[in-house]
Amino acid sequence: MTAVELNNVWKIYAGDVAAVKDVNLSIQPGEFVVLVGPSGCGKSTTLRMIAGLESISKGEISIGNRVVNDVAPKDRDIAMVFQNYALYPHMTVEKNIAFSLKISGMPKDDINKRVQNVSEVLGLHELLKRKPGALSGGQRQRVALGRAIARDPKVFLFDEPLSNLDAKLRIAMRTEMKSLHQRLATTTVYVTHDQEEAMTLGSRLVVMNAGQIQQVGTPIDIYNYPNNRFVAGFVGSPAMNFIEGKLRVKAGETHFSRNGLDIFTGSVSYLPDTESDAVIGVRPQSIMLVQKETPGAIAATVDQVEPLGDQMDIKVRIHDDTVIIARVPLQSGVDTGLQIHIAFDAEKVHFFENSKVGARLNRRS
Amino acid sequence: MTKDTKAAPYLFLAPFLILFLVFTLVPLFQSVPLATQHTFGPDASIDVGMEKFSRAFGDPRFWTALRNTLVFTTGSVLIQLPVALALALVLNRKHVLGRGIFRLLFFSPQLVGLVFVAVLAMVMFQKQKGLVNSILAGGADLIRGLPIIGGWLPSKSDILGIPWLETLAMPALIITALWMYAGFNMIYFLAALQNVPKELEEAAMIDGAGPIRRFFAVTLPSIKPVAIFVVLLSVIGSIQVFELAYIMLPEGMGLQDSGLTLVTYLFKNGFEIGDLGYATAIGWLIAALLSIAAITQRVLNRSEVRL
Repeated sequence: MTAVELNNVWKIYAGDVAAVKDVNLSIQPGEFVVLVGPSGCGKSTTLRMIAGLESISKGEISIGNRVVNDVAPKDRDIAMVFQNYALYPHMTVEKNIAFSLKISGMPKDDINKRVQNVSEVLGLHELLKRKPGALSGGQRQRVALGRAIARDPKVFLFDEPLSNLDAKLRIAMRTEMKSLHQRLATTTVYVTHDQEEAMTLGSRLVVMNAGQIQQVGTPIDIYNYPNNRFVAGFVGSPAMNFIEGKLRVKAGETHFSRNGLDIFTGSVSYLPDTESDAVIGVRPQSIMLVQKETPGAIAATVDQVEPLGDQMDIKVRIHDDTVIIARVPLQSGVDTGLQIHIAFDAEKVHFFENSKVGARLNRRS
Repeated sequence: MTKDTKAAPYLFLAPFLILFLVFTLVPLFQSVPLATQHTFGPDASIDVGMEKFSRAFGDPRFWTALRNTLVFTTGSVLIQLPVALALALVLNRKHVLGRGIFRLLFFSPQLVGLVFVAVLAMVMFQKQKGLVNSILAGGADLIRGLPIIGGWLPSKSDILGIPWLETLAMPALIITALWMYAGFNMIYFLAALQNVPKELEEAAMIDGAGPIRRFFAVTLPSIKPVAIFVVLLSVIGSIQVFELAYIMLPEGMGLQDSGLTLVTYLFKNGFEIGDLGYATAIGWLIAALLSIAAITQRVLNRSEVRL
């Protein structure tokens, strides 16, 4: 049995604007699936269609093996946490949490027990008699979570719930949400534009762009084997470096050059023989500082240095002014204006077609 | 900051301040002693202490005017504001065809002005040929054939002769004010409704609340501050009702004082009879009523919610 299933789901707005295009996704019970992508990629629309807050133009959505296309939000057995929390401002925390239970006709004693349980889990005891206006952002977030948990739904839906919090609180709440999910094991669909949040929270990520799913997989899988240039560029921080050039693969030896300069030479697994225009992708973390004599070393000039504690991001320029970002140890002593040599880790380079989609060329094992 | 720039704000404020001083503040201060005087023309007066106030409390016409004003105020608030809110709720929906046109139509009485509306209403509420009575008579003819109700209905000539402006002045005034101000108040409600976060409504939908519960549990509390403000504006405006009655009704007050309001009574005493002291005392009593309304609004707004 699947917890949530989307089959060929489309959302088309007036004027033939397709916000979501032919989405297929199967979510297993207890999974924490994160829909991630840039603004306007269709992730929130997809979530809202699951919630029943947006109609489905084409396709079918099932929750717990029941098609819910025409089922009202309240009857879908879901709970949703909104970006701005959507707490009822004139009700106390206690009443906010109890609101849905009261509507469902639950006996008063049971409601009280449920509210007590939820407030214990989330540490809301002290806040029960306060109104949302008297709470901090983090506290409001916790109350919104409490309101969702109190319903004991089949599926939790989260629409960018942490984006209104400051950076420090966001990280703290991230940890809290993860441990909450481990405890409750309720199926969760979570939307965010923050790839770091997606990587840390999700058991599976769904990367979306322009209304379409680009890749579905575990965070590690997506990081190590991005399907295309978009996923490669979106996931990972700092973003992957892309250099366009000529790729030649023959008898297991890979050569990549740009404007007459060898950018990469080595043996790359699962790359079929070819001679074509292509794009090499290399994460800043996969670039090494090397000696001039090292095979494959590329001469570069350091333009900018950004210290990050024990590491630093350096912006370097190679011979034709192509800019590359590398993450190197702080102790390496690199400074602005220095001439250095860099090389790419052969195990961690990615090759993509030089096309609009930019499909991955080196297949995974 | 130079001397010129320091003076700039006061120069900008000056036109208002001068007008306010000359036409509001000075008359206001002058009205304090005036309320304790009996005047003989503009130049002669004698001090009568609080007599003008005590006279008001013993004057049956003052009580009639007060009762009529309160009936008008209650009618305006209880009928006009729910209608305005209902119109705003309908126009706030996403898929209403011709939303802009309806908005303009409901607001249009404000554009043509009070005098125009009052004159139109006066024509519409005329006996015999007035539109209101004609519609009522036409409607009655349609259902006259029905059992029970048909027998209970008055005759066509009785309906055409309903004396709205003469003895049913208050209902006529309330209906005209509804036409005049419902669209205006609708704009306030519409603005407030558009500020209610969409997510609140959606959260309530997911929580299982139907449309009526969502309205009372989510929408109405969210627009409470604006609703209280609109009620206050409406109460203040209604207590000061004058022009509508003065233009629409015979003698400005209907027959047997059926449409006499406090401000009309003030006007008649001050500018037709010439008893400026009594008119001023009535003015101060109206001010007291308005103050009670304003204080009530402040108390109610203390529990205002933050969204």
